[in-house]
Amino acid sequence: MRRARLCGATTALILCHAAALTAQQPASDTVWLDAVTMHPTQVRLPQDYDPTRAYPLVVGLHGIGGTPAGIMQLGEIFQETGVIFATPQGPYAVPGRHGVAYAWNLVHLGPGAPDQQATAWSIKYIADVARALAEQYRAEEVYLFGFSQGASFTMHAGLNHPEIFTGLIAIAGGLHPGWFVEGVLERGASLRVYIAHSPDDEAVPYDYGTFARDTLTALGYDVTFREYEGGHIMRPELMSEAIRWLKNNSR
Amino acid sequence: MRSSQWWLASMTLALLFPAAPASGQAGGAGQGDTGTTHLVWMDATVLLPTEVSLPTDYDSTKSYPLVVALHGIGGTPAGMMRLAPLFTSSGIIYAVPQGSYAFWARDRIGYSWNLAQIGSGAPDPEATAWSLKYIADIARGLARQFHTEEVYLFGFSQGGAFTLMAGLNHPEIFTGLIAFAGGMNPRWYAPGVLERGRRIRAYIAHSPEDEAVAYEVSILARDALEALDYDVTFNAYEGGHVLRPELVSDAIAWLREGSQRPK
Repeated sequence: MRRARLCGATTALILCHAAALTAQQPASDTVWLDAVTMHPTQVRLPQDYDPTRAYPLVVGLHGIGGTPAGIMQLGEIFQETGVIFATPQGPYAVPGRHGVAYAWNLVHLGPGAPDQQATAWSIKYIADVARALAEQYRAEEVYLFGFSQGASFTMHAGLNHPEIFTGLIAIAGGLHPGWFVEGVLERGASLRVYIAHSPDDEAVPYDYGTFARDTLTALGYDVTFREYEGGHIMRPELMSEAIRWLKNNSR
Repeated sequence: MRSSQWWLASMTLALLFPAAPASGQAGGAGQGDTGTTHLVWMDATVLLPTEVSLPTDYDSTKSYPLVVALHGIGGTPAGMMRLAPLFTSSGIIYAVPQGSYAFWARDRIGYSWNLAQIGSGAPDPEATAWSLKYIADIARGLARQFHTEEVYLFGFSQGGAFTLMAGLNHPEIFTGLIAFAGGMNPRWYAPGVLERGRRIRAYIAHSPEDEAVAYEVSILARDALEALDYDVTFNAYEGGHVLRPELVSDAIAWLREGSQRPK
């Protein structure tokens, strides 16, 4: 039995752990490589949109196994209240119940996949989308909003880019201090953050939500925390409340 | 046309006659279109997997030919991996990358090398250009990794078309190209590209009965390359839009005949 020496050769290639190769069966190893790809973002303008006016921009991130179409259903609430609502598609495809669904990193593949680097690229992608749309629509206030994995990416992308965002709305997500370079969280304390989480959540523990609240509050962030019933779900009334929160502090 | 083939045929038509791009970067959105949803397309870097199989009795001190295999539209790396034993038993390193774009192909996720499956409005030329770079990056990276002196591209259907496009745009990387049921549309090539490069060897195969990708696009590829003094081997095979193992074995024999390495 031979072992292929595939691991750790170049910086361009991320080589996963080599499986044992036998003479009988051509075992295979997975090599991961960066690729530039094109991804769509759905954009909805407010009712009676007037291009000479500036509107707040909300970029909404679906959860793992979600779709932009699913998030866009909530977009109608935003649209009626005079914000531009945009939902990018997660860059990684996963099988959904009725077709392709999407994710923001490779965590669904388990250990062995280059999840950290996938996460870092997606953070850049989310920041690129927000910056490009803010420029296109001359939006002065840019919010990130997300549910579940989308909420974790809302906090991750938003707190890493306080220069882009006015505020963050994170429903049922988590904050992982390990995701942040030292000093980054301290830098973004101008951001307003709305966090909601259900104590009955069986998919993302409630403690993740309270941990995010406590961590950011201690660093001087303006945090609004809302506890809701129903488990790992998005409730329309939460959206209404988040919009009131957004509007109350809108310039 | 049988219903089970409609999606493949319609996608192939879209591949052969790509629509003009509607909007590439953010900026394609029309202003004032209230109440409707529109799409803005943006670049994003992602990580994509390539399955690599080493030859039987692989010896890391030796150099082996490398074949990078491209699946067709709606295909998967798993489908192309079924051919791996044909290559590895012939002393060839066989690598199968995943196409850059996922879509729902009837009852499962399949992949494509561009956005042809979406139809008009998608930035298909940009997607194609990025995928050609991705394919070249894979081939270059693996060739360096395995100290390979001979690198081949091999593909079926859309993968066959991308084999010719990526290969003929990068003669500095590839020794030869094996394109099944892929073909060539001269509009996909920048002026002078085919004349400029080293004349790499090409094995082109297509079935005259192919109902999904017209046989003529491979005839066109053969004639265009032969007119420019490329070394072309052409195989007209029976059976329509399929890739059978014995056809692949024939291509491997062609690869071996031209190989500089001891057999």
